[in-house]
Amino acid sequence: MAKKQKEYKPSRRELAYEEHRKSPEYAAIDTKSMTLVIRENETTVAALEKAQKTAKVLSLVLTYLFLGFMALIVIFPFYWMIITSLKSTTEIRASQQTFFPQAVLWSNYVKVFQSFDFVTYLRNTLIVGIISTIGTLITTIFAAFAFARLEFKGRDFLFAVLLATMMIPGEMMVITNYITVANFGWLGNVVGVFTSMIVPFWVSVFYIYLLRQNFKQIPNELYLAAKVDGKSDWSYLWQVMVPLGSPTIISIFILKLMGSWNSYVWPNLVANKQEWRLITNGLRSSFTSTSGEPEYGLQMAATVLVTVPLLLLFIFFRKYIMKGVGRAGIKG
Amino acid sequence: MIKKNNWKAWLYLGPVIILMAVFTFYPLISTIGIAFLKDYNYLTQSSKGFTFENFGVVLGLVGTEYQGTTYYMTDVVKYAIPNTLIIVFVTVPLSTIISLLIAVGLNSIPWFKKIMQTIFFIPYVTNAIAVGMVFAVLFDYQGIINFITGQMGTPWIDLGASQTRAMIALCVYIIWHALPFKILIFLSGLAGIDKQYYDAAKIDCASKFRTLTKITVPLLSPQILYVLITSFIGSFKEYTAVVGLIGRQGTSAGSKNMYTVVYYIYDTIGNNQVQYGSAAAVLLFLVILAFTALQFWVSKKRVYY
Amino acid sequence: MNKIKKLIPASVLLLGALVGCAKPTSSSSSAPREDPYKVPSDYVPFAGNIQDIEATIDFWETFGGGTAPNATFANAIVAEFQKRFPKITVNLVNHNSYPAIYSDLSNAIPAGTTPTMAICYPDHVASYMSAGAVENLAGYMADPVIGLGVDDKTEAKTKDDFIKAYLDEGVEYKQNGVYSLPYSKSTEVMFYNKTIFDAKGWQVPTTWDELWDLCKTIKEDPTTPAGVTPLGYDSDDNLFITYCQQAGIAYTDINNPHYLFNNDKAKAFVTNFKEKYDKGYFLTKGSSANSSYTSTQFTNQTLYMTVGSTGGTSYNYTDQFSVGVAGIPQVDTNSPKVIQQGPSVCIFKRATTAQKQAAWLFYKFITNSANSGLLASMTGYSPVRASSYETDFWKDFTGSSATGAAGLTVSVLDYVAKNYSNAFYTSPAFKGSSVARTEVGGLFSSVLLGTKTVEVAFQDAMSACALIKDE
Repeated sequence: MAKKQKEYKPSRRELAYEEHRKSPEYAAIDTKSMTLVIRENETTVAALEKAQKTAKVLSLVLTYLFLGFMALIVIFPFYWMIITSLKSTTEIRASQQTFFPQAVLWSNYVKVFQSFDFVTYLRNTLIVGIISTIGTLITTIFAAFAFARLEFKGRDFLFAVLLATMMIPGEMMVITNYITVANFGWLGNVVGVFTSMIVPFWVSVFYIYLLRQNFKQIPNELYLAAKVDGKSDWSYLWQVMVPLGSPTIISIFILKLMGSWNSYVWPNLVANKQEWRLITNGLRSSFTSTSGEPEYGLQMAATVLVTVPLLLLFIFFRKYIMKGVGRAGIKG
Repeated sequence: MIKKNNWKAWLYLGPVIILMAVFTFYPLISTIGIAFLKDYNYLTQSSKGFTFENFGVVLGLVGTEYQGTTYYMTDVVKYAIPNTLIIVFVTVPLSTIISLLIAVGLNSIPWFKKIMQTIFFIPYVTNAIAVGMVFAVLFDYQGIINFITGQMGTPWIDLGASQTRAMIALCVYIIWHALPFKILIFLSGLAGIDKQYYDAAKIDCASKFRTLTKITVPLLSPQILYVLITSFIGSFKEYTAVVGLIGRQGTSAGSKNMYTVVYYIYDTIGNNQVQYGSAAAVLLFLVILAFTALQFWVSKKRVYY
Repeated sequence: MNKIKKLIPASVLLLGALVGCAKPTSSSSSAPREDPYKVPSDYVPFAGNIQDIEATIDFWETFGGGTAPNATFANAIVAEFQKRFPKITVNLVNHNSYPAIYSDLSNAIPAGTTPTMAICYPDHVASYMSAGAVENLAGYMADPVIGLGVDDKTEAKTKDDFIKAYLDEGVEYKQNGVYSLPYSKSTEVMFYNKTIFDAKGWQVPTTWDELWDLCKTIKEDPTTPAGVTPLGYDSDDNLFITYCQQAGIAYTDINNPHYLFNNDKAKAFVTNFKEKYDKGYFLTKGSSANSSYTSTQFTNQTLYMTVGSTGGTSYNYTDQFSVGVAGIPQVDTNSPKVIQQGPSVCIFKRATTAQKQAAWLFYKFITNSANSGLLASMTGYSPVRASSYETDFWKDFTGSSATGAAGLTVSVLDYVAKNYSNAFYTSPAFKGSSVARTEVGGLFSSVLLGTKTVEVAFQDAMSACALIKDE
């Protein structure tokens, strides 16, 4: 038989109950005609069902209250971002903060469109983001597969080493990478600069680990069954594992895309011409007054313009993430 | 029955290994090397020899002599290390538990599911500056938090705030920020759990609590482990939250009472004192490594794939 | 640098011709140095036709994007320059702030990706020079064909036309030579609530003693509202450094040992100011809640006087009351000292000869009399050339009865031109000078707020500075 995975250990009570269920006495019980005696009061199945229903409603209400409360907490800064984008700078800097703009300044948005090269930065960010994300997805899927399913010498050691690289703060590596990229000669031309914004980040141990966890949950039996059928690893990966792991893979897609969208330090360093810059850089530089004070209203307006597409993206992909993927494939 | 797939595995891992060798291992080794260099100059990339003293300086054990007085650098030991530890041991367990409860709750409600799921993702798309501004307003002297707790006029994160109060505000901020990612991970993990397990539980009249602890948590354990490991590692490296909320190294100008280890490292890079930052990074790495190894050992019996 | 002080001709006409001859006192006690303007031996004089210089240069700047006045100005200048020198292309590359440009250049130097020219502070340049990355401009200045004062399309006048104090900042480095040249300069002035001063018949103070007396009067006046503090001084570090300069207290030195501020006189003055702070006479930005700018507090009328940068003049304007302009308080009005700040330009060695020459030409053009004056009128920074004050444009600009924030800018520029010419000082720039500045600002705030005692504050500040190893 197949190798057993880690077993779920039932408690003694459960074992006893299991035993009881196998006995003939149990089979002879006719539940429909029984009356239950609870605390010397007679009650019927109907009353019990009602009690259960109340409990269910109560827990539902509590859940909604809890979620509602957390949702308010969670959404408040976003709301603040939007109203700040409609305020004037003086109102923002005032000591008494207002919860709704005194004067709604749609003009902030107009100014944003006029003042920075929105379209260029957007295009750059999209190019970098999408190629980055696709590249990461590919390397992540391969690596997670190798770590989750394939047996090879040094697997655990290598995985530990990879994990260890997460333990060093990224800031330390920036300057060496910058010099490396300069030495490759990538910094003088368009293709090179975009390459240097994309390629170093085609590997993310963070996501490899995540997907590996997910892949490991897919039962080994499936793999062995496929092997018996004569399928290669490659086709198993793409025909079985990837579809089964799709909620996680889509999550990685969105998170990575957003990470590229929000990345600032590296692109700022590497993109030395205005027309190669990304949106994050444009956001921060475009709205500072002469003496270095940021104009928050305009910054927020630009930010809203930039984050709304991300939100829409999430809304679109949400159902694919949340869609339950059943394990029906196993039993058949 | 499964043969060793050495060469095949390395093929799958090829791109990862190559990219990491160039952009991760190589910089790591060279920056770790800097920790052992004396008087490293960032701009000329030159140094004056090999030494262990940088570690001593960072920990406040080795002093620097200047004009007859010896000065010890106590910021790391006095502020950065305790603050980092508090962040790690407070925010990670709390945010994990809260996000788990939210994820399970989201999964179980019959109506408004889509909207709620979207709402909980919003912190992830909210700009960090905006978030910092909001929290500054909420924790203001006359802000809502003080209004609710009846402490109008008491500072949380600005002048005069005690380190304790500021740390509380910081932890709230960090937890808030950490929720969406964890919720997302748990939700996609929950989506993969076969409904059959839950049906079986219903038939056996298991209570909600039992369902949660005996079925959901074990089946979600790979994701929980992932979240714990990556969160702990991430929280040891916390720095952007302090900048976002406090804006500087301390609650008042000139103070460093909100320092974290990585904030210190970041400052040394800006001040051309990279050798101290590297030393601190090496020490931090060793601590995280030990802690993570401990976590794996503890989790061996509790994670089910 | 010799400390010979020349007397300025007494005729300070309305829009005084600033042939600034006074050298600012520096806090370095060095032996006389070689002439920094001497043409370096390895300088190759320019040969050929200026119009034949062909290059594309990158200029890293911090002008803010979009419609910020600095950016608008720079873009217009670039367009005009490229018309006059069609074979030269200037690329403006924006960086978000001074710390950002400093950090980006610090990364570019070891990576070999420095631009041709960049905006910088002297503190930054000292750091770049420790890697030998900056070009000595003495040769270019004196070049017979492309130097200062030649008849070319840049219309740049001679070296003497520069405000001397601004030029001197560029030769105050450890290495002999000219390593940075002024772009636009700011200083500090005191804005005061003229409406209230006139109503109460108060005299504008000129010395610190007069100031404290006035503060006492204001605080004891029963009609003064409760939340009002008489004076706000925006920059903690400027206060510390300027006062040290005024009172002859040692702060830093260009030679080792660099950091001299841990002395009894300094501690005494800080203790004294702490007492005044406790009495509610003044505050600073660092000791204000939410680090709010003193200009904001001034326009909100919780401060009656504020000392702030001339670059931020427009933030001190309000239509709620009449804003007056005066000089910062002095220790001794016979030997006034006021800080000189603002960006300079440096050119990097790692550029081709043609690029460096092109950058030099661009620098000459953007800081010529007309352009420097234009920039000043748009921002409140002061022009770097004395002749800027002579142009018709300037006379129109200051003569016009401008109102509002522009009017305030005119008053400020006017005041600076008339009164500050021999009062400018700069602090020595060396590797670590920017840290010293941050630390003294921090120590001052800590003492005022009471979070550290004077001893501890000085100790911590010195500790941070002591860690910086000299090159």
